[in-house]
Amino acid sequence: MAKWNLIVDLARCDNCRLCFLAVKDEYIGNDHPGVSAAQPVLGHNWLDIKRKERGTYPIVQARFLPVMCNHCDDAPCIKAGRDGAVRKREDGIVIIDPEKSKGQKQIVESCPYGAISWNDELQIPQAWPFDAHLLDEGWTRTRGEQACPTQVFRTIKVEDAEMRRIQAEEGLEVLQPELGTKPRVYYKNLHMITKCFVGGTVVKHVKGVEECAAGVEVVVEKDGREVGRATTDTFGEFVVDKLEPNSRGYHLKAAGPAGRCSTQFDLPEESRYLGVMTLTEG
Amino acid sequence: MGDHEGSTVNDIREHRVLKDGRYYLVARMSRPDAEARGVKDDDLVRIWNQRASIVCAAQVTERLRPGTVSTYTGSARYEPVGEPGRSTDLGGCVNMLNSKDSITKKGHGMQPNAVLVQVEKWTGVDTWQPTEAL
Repeated sequence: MAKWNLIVDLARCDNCRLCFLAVKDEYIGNDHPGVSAAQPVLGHNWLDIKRKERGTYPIVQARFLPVMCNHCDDAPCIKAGRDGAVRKREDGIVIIDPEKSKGQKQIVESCPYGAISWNDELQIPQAWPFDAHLLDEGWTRTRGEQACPTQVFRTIKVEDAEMRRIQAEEGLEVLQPELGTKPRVYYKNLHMITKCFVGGTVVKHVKGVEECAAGVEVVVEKDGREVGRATTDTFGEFVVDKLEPNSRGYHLKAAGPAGRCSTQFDLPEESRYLGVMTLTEG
Repeated sequence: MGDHEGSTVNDIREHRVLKDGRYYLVARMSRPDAEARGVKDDDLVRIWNQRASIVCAAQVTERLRPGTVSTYTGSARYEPVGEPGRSTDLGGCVNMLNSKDSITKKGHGMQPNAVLVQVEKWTGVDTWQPTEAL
């Protein structure tokens, strides 16, 4: 049976918050019987956006991670709920019943992603219900996807086998797969949050003047094996991404028509800028 | 939907941060400036010059040049701790830091722009006084 999945592409997110506001607009003050009770005006971010800055001046990247209920296939909240308070629909969507979940605060604490909020007034746990009431009416896209001007989201209803194929084909990842909860929210370009990059500036000397060295091939090796490569831009700058945080023993080599240079470096927890490197002949 | 008290927009972390029951406007600071003042993310800081004194929540960033602080001027609140115009504002009305002169001689627009300010950790005790005539 075809089930709902959400694909989130981090490379497209600029933190404009239109999805955030669309979800607020959909749920604040609106009861959707059988799906969700009204969201409070403040304090609940059923769809939130986390921020991560990578690198240091002058190569800095701001990356944004939209997070929401993952609608896990093996959801801890379903186990934590009593009397069928949390259930999995046949189409994959996890629903926290606004009636049956009353008083069950342990459901909030059961979510390892922190995606469930507690409604103090109604005394119920609440999370983003995948806009189930809209999909049931025939909508094919969630409010967040509709509101997004940069097409971060893709709401798709496919068989699980087809989703696995798409995941492999597009290199999609889920948040904290080691938890084994089997999320239905998939991320593209998640390395922009979870991995590190190394950046630098390559210069050359032309008739005694220091110039940016564009088009220089930069190769990063670890244990004699290539782990990444990049070409310097007009400003002589390069970024080699998808390196593991807290890893050591890298060797960087740059080579172009004006010469070559190399350096060794380690990566701490965060991305780093190696500074200016000068090509020398030979 | 706006910046007024109780608006859901206050939940946007880049806009305001909830601290001790109040939503403070966010001010971005460069890492070296923040470290020199012992300021961490979400710490309350006081931004002032001779015209006004405003409390914001700090967001420490690599995306600013050292020596600069950045805030948006979209505050709809003015919540002075004492006498209005002569005390520190907790609402985040950073336009108070700007000159009151019009942008042109015969125009009505104000001139919000870059202004000189100093920043320190907010102690909770207001001793500030304006030195520019109101």
